[in-house]
Amino acid sequence: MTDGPVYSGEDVLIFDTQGISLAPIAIDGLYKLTGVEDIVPGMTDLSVRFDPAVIEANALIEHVRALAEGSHPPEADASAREATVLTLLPPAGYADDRAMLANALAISHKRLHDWLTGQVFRVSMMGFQPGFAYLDCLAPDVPAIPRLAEPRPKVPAGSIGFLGTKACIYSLDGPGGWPIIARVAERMFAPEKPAQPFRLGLNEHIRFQIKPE
Amino acid sequence: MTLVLRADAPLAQICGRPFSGARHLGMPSAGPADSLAHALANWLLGNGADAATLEITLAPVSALAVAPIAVALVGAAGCMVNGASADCSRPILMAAGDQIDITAPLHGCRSYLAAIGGFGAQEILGSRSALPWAGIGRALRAGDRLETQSDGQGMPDRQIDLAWLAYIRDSILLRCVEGPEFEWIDKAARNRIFGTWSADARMDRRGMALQGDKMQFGKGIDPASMPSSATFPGTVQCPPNGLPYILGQDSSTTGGYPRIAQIIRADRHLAGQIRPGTRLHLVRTTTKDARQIFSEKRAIWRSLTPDLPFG
Repeated sequence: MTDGPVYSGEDVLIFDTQGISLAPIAIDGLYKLTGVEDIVPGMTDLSVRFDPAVIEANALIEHVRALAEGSHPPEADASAREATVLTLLPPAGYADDRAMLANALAISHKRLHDWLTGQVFRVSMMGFQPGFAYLDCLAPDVPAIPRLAEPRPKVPAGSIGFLGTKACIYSLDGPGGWPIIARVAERMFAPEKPAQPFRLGLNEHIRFQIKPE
Repeated sequence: MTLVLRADAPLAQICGRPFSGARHLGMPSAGPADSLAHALANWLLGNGADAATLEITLAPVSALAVAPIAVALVGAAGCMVNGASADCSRPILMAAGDQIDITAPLHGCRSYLAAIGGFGAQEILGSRSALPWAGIGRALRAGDRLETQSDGQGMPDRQIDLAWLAYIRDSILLRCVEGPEFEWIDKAARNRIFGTWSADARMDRRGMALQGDKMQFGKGIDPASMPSSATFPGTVQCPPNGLPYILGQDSSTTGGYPRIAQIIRADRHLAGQIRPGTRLHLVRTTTKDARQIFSEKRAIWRSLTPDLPFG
């Protein structure tokens, strides 16, 4: 957080968060601040929407700075944290780009699930769809996979995408341009659970397991 | 207290309060596209401003009262009860068997049908708002029953001045501040964006395309290089093809296209009245003036209804 925040409208401030990670508790803390309405972590920033009639922008800036000073790089506690385990299914027949990642890793695509189960991911951002998670792979040397030339009109919910060195999990059926390497059995967004429809949360660590027979 | 739809109403949906507190998990706002018309319909009946209404978009809607029910209709459309034109400045008392026909509007786009006590719907994350693209609620069909939660006792005697709805017109002024990636478009585009546009037919609750000139990006700018970041209702995005659009109430919480402008809080509800062909005048203002405009506009509306969740 070197430069000052940028406005996006008179009621949104965008803070640069490159190199730091605000813990979920910090996000909860921000939500408790009177006048704060919405918080959206981006790939490299954090946006806070506020009611300018209730909280002064300067007070909000001070508060976020204090939170940032108390935080640390996200990688620091990778091993210490317990991971959420999701169960792998084979990808749907019409959305299967396993070969792209397997070739980049120089392994057979049959072994890709084994490779996946050996990795730890961290939810670095959520957006695009309710419950859609962007994942950072915590292992070094993950190959960068390019975007599909033509986005698919329908990617099934639960699909795991890989793009660049990031992964994602689609929460709803919908269009998508990420190469798809697998699917999870769990639902990422379940509106029939009205109090807690989301399966994942920010900063959560994720591992994958092969479906037990 | 029940209304039964007489015909399919694919563009109508239940709107309660917007979802809040879960945007960091990807939850869009949803809720009424014109929050002011929604709040006024509720006010007429003495409902809280967050009570769920039926949002009606362009197409006519007909419904039958199963039992006596008090409703209010505020927005772009008018209505008839049993074939006779109804006074929309007051609550409309329907007897069992009465039919309400909400007509297609001549100007503007959306209307809100409130019922005393608010319509019932499954509450998710504290809101009854539908968000069909995420599997919350669905397009309404003939025979669907809209249930209310009150017997209509204790309704206040209220009337709105229809002049308050003069903002619903075919030419809308939307004040904007520069977006975070405003500098990414070239000098001609920076001048052009704050000007007059026509709303394209490609629109829904997620976004509205603008018809007009193509924006060019500055020399050396790769419009595809933006890391995904927050977007909000009223954000004007410009994808690499140079054709800008305005994000609506149901838009995603993040996006990777440059945000070249943002409609100010005071004017966001106006975007709910945009229909294909509406003339849109995007006018540049500053964050300081935007706050002033908002606090003045809100003070006026809150003098009428103190719980108005305006903006």
